Amino acid sequence: MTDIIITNIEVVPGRTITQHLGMVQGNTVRTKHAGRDIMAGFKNLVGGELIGYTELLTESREEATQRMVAQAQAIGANAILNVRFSTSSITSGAAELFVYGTAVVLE
Amino acid sequence: MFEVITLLTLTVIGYIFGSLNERRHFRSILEREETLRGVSTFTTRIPPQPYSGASHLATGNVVISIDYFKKISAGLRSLVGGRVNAYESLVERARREAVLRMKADAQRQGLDMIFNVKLETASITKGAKGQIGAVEVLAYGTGLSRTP
Amino acid sequence: MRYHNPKIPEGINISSTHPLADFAWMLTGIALGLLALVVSAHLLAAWLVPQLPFQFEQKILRTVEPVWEIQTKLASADEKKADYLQKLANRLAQQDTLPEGLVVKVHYINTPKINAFATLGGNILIHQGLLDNLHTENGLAMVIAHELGHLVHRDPLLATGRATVSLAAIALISGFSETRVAENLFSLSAQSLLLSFSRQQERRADQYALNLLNGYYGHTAGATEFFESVETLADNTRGYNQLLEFFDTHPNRGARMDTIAATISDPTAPLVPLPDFLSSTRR
Repeated sequence: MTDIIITNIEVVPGRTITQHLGMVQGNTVRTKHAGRDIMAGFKNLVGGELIGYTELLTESREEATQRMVAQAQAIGANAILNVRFSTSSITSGAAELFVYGTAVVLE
Repeated sequence: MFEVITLLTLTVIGYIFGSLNERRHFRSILEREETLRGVSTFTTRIPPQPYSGASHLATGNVVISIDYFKKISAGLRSLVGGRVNAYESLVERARREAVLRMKADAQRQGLDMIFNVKLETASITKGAKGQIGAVEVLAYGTGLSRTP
Repeated sequence: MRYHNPKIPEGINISSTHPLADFAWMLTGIALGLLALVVSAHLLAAWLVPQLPFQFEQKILRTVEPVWEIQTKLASADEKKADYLQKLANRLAQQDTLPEGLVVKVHYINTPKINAFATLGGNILIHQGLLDNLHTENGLAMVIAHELGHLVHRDPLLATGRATVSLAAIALISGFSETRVAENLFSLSAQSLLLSFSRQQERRADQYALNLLNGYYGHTAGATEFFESVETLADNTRGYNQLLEFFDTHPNRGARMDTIAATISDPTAPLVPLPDFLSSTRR
C-alpha cells in the first residue's frame, strides 16, 4: 500500500501537482454501547473528560480517513489536499464523522 | 401483545418501503453522476491562474428522512455499540445527492469546475421521542468555467 | 495541470452487511444479554431476600395503604367470617413454629372472585368466591395452610424483590438509550414476571401445607377439594370467566392435584364440614 500524503493546505510544498482528480470523501457513523452512556451520565455530575466518547470519536476519525484514502487510491491518486473534517450528531448517542479532500497526483 | 404487533408491522413496512426507496434513489444517483461527470469538484481554493471567466457560488442541499426500520436498528445498535450501518447509507445518499444538486446548479450557470467545496451536515430533530429524524446536507462551492 | 473527474467505486462508505442480518444478530445478542441479566437478578434476590426480617415487609406495606384494607372497610364487614378464618389459620399455624416476627393476619374480602393469596407482611387474603366452592373444613384448611407455606418461605418478598430488580435494570437501560423500542420490549416480560410465584414455590407450599394438615387432622383426605371444584366449575363459561385470574396465576394445577392426591392414604377418613354462615348470602 503506497503511502498517501494527506495535508490540509492547498499545496504540497516542494512537489508539483500533475493531475486533479476531484473530491474524495470518507464517513462513518458510530455509537458507544449503553454502558458508556451510563458512565457519561454519571460524569455529568462531576465533570471532566468523557474518555469513552473521546475514544469513540478518535476511532471514527481514523476509520473515516481510511475510507477516504481508499477512495483516493481507487482512482489512482497519491495525495489528498485541503482535507476538512466535520462532526455532527445524527441521533442521540451516535456521531457521524465526515472527512473530505481533493485527490491529486503528484509527480 | 398489541404493542408488539404494532411495532413489528411498522418495522416491516419501514423496511420494505425504506429499502425500495433507497435502492431507487441510489440508482438515480448513479445515473446522474454519469450525466454530470463533466462537472468536477475540488476542495482546494486556488483556481488555475490566470483566470478571466465567470465565477459564481453553486449550492445544493437535501433533507432525507429515516424510516422506521432504521430507527429501530439504530436504537438496538446504541445498546450494543459500534458502527451504525443503517445510518451510514442514509448520510451517504444525502451527501451524494447534495453534491449532485450543487453540480447541477453549477451546470445551469454554465460553470463546470467547482472549487473550495464545503459540506455541512445537520440533523433535524435528531429523531427525539415522537419526532421525525432526518439528515440535512448542504454542499456549496465556487463554480468556475473550464473554457472561459 | 489537468482536471479530471474519475468515477469512484461504490461500497467504500457503506458496509456490505445486509441490514436484516445486522438486525437479527443484534436482536439475538440483546435478548441473550437480557436473559442473563434476569437470571442473575433472580439468583441475587433468592440469596438476599430470606435474610431480610419480617419487620421490613411491614415497613414496605406502611408506605402504601393496602387495597384489601380499603375493600374490607367499604364492603359489609363480616366479623363472624373473618374471625372464623383467623382462628382456623391460628390453629393450623400452631402445628409449626413460625419464624420470629411473623404475625399471620387473615383478611376476608366479600367479592365473588375465586382466589386466595398471600402477600407482604404476613397477610393472607381470602375471597368469598373461594369459600362458596368449598364444603369441608379440610379443603379450606389446605388452602389456608398453603398460603401459610408461602409466608413462611418468604415467597411474597422474593417475588417483589425479583420484580423490583428486573424493573430497575430495565429502567436503567431504557432510560439511557432513549428509544421507545426498549420500553416496549421489556414491559411485556416484566408483567409476566410479576404475575405469579414460581412452580417450585407452589410445590414447596403444597408440601408444607400437607405436613400441617397431617399434624392437625392426622390425615390429608379432602386436600384436593378445591382443585376438584375448580375443574367442574371451569366446565361452564361463567365459571371459567370467574376463574381466569386464578388460572393465570396458578399454571400448574393438574400436576399439583395429582401430587397431593398421592399423599392421601385413607380417602374414607372423616371430613369436617364447613359451618353454614360461610357461604354467600347473595349469588
